[in-house]
Amino acid sequence: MDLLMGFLFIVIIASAIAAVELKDLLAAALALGACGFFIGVVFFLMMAPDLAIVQFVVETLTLFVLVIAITRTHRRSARSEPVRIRAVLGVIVICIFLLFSFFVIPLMTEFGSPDQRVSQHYIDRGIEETGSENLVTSVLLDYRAYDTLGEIIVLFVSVLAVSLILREKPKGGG
Amino acid sequence: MSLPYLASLALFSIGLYCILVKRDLFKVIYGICLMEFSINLFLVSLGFVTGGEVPISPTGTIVVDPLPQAMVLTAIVIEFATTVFLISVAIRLFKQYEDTDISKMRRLRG
Repeated sequence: MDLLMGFLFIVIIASAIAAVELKDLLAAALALGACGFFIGVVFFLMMAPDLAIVQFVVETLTLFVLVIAITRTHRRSARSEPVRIRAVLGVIVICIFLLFSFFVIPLMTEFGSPDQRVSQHYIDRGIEETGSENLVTSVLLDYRAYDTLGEIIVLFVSVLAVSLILREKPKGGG
Repeated sequence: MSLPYLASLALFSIGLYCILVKRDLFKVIYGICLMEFSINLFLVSLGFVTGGEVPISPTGTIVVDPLPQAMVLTAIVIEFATTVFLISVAIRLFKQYEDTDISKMRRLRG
């Protein structure tokens, strides 16, 4: 289990680096999709099957939209910042990574033994209070239903914005 | 053993580097996507319990935390919406400037 997860993390980080560094935008989009799919597999291993399914569906749709967008624009990636700026920013990002991994991660709760003060109630009484066998669904659609309503509103606004932005101007002027 | 935390931190750093360094619009969108993946991974690994069950009609007492999973489920869908919005803005900018290079998008043009 640990070995498998470690291997998956190596694959995820390798495909993320590929998505960042590949010059061909379509190939980079495929690498990004691979990263997302392997994260879905990690969700499945972390006992979150609902999340894994949603991640697979959303990743497929994102890849589809990205491929359409790249075929409408062009495939070659624009050049990056000059090498000196890249080196300075890379060093800064690596410093942030080391700082957080040495000083912040040891302060957090150990992986595998979280603090379940809030969700203990959901686990104990979720089935009798909401009637849903799936506790994730009971949180999503009953205890925190307004969050889901907000999510639907965000989706709706995004659809409106996309259809406004991509609208072609009518031909006869006006 | 905090391997998932380290992995999500590394993924976040890669996304941050991508946003800071790349001048291509689509590369910036990829960087934002990578940061979103890392945050989702981090939240789900915060709720993992060793030896826990899937939170679907559990039989034992040790159950994986369902709260972060529900929140991340919401977050994934919202991320999809924002990503599609960003991609449509990128298509629009490409139509305007005939290029996806950010450094060439300085002037305002109607």
